[in-house]
Amino acid sequence: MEIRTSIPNEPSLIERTKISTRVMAGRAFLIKTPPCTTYLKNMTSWLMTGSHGALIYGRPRLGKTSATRWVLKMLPNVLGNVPSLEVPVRGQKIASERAFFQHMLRCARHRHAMGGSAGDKRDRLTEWLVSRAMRSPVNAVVIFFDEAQLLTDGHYDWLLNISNELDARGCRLFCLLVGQSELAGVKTKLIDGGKEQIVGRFMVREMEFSGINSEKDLANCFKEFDQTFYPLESKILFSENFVPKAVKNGFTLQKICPGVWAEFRNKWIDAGLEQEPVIPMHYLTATIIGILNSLVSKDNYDLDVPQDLIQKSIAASGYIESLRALKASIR
Amino acid sequence: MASLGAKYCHLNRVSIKVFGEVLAEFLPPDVSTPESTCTVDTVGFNISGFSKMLDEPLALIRSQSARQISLGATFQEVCLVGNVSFNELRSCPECLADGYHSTLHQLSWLKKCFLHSLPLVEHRIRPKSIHRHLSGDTKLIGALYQSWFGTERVWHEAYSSTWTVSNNTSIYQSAKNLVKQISATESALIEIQRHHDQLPRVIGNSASARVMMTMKSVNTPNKKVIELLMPVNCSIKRTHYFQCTTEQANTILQLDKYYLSVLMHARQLMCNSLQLTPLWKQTLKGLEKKLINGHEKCLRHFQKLHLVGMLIRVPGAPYDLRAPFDLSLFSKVPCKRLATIRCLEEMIDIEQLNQASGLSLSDISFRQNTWDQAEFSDLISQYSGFISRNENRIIHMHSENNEVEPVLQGQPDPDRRLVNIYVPSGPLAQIIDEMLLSYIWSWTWALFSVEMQSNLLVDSGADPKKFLAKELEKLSPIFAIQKNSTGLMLRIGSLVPYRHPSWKAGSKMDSTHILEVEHKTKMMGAFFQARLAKVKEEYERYLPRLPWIDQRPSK
Repeated sequence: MEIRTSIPNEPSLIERTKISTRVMAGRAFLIKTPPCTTYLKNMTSWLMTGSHGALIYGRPRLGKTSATRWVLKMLPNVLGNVPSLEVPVRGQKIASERAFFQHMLRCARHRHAMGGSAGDKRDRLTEWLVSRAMRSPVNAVVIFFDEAQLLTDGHYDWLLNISNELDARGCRLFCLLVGQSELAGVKTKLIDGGKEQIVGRFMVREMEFSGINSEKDLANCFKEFDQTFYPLESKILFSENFVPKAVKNGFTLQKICPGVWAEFRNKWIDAGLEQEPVIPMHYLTATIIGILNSLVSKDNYDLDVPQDLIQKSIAASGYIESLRALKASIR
Repeated sequence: MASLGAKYCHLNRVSIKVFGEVLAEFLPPDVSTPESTCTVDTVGFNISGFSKMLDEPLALIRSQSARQISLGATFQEVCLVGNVSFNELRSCPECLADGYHSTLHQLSWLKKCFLHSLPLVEHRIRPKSIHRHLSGDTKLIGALYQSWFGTERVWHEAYSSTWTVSNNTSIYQSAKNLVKQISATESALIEIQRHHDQLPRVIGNSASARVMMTMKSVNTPNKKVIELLMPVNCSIKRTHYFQCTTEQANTILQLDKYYLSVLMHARQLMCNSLQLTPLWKQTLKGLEKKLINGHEKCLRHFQKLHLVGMLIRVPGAPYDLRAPFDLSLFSKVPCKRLATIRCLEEMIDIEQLNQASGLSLSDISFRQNTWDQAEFSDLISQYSGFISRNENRIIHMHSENNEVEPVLQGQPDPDRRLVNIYVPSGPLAQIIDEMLLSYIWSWTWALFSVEMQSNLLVDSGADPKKFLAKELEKLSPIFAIQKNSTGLMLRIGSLVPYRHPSWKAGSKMDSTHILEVEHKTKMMGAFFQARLAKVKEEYERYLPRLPWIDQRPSK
């Protein structure tokens, strides 16, 4: 009989909660998923071919923001230093030049974000972008607008101005417009409104971001989770934080992949949806965290994962509710 | 830091004051910095924080330090030059157009840019202190900001893609070369101090020439650095050795520029009085001869004119009529050479303001009690004798009809004057002789330069006397006095060669010159005669009403 106290590194509840919340908030680590790989490939080719912007849209909770962060983090390995600025767009009833540029400067952690006139702020931002673009091998700087569907015509005009100013200095502004599916609608609306210059500049390239939609993708994704160390410096595998004994004996998340996929598929069919199932990253991560947390008490060298545990975890992740909302939107 | 600050203010659209506040955040709270230090060198400056804030590499911020280029104490003591100074913005036009400015440009004795070899320009914009805690280098921010961004033109050029100083490696290499020279000179000087316990003393007008002399005398001259210091090359003459005791050597080394000049004057007086002819005096006589050569006829014509002019020198006559005896009037003498000779006459005047000391004979006689008798006992001695007062009147002496000038009022000046002064003796006299010789050569070339530029001076209306003074200062020699085992050694750095320039001889063959002079003399003579008649008339009319004039001039 084993004595529980002798198990090394058994994580306490608090530790586990910390890890779980961090992972869910996207602050722990970024996972390479198959859609991410496509995204990175596209992004590289866009930057290499001299595009000035791209639209990335998709349904909620797919992991667009995290994927973009991952792509921007990986770009230096492909192209060398590509400076970027992440701007979570604020919805404004009336677009204000001053507020917009001040917000961008604050996102850039600029020291003098608050002082001066709107023109000063604009110049400050341009100089900030130029000084960074000049040091990049592709002579470009990427601004990543999160929730870009909130940008209005005025905002686009200002971005156009900045882009032109950078052009005059021999640099390029790349606007990565990431947002909900309605972003595709914004493009048509701009074309209808005769704002072709904006579409031509920033929206020629587009990509619909999708979730995990095959068992193979899911297996790849689980493989990434299995190979991740967390915390990074501790050299402990991510799942080892929850089920150390089982991991030592060769337990991997990949082993439960068919069970998880089948269960997600069931939920999809149950919701009355057609085609292949799509799993947004948010729910997938929540499910994995749920499964691992439930397994803590069952940790053993020959760990077996019951199917109902998977089922419960998926239900707890909120996937079913999201499917209902999807169904409603399709109608 | 100045360059960084100016660019920071421009790029971030903030005022210079704001930058000052930002900078102050990275300095310790109660810091007081000397004027000539750089912010980066301030003790406790958070350099890594500052580089993070600017998002610039740490090495770039480190390069703003002046620690490397600051001169050692020995260097400063010997050359009497200061360290980097931030009291005025000095810059190279090329560098400035490229948006570059270096702390190296602020070394006041450096004449040219270390990258482009262009003369450095001192700017009119006065640097202002922006924050009382900040170091001197921040004072330049405003001036740099003005010159870069005050006029859009310069900065637009800086934005262009073809920068000549964009190559950081070459800038770094050039700067390093200069810094290496400075530190090599400093360590060589320290070595000398250790072995001979006395540093050389360098005396001279221009700071850059003193630095060059120092570098040359400790054998660390670098062709490139010498070129940056001066437009003219300085040649070092044969080293002279003088035997004297250690005490004498110490006393001589303590003599400053003022006392040396007084001694030079005294030596001139004594040589005149005793009819001694040391080498410098022979050189002077040679110069006189060269100047007169071929211009005897001009002198004769001049003398005629002179006599007419003297007659107009009556009380109340307008000043412009005292020509052509004014030095400033190249245009009013029939022959240029006459003006040159007049200049020389004034320079070698031992009684009035002497070129060497800037003092008159009376001044020297009055001030002679400033000498400390005990200290100088065997280096100076008292001398009494008469000097001939016409020694320097070259034109007068060489005129064929050596007429006696009309005496206007009172008694004529006596030909001789009593002098009672202290004069150098022993090794000091020898040293003074050598110095005088090099000065005479520099005077020769300065005169030559003035005569060469005479047409330009007449056209521009510039004062030839001022021009001559500038030339004299520019060409004045530099001396390095140093102790050695047997006494003293003197190195003279001369900016002019020890030979006569090719004076354009008036020559008897050049008939056109003579004709021209004759013609001019006639014209001027007529002019003076007319004025003389007029002045006389007025004089006669008004004289009775002027009560303080009790004596009429003899006619």
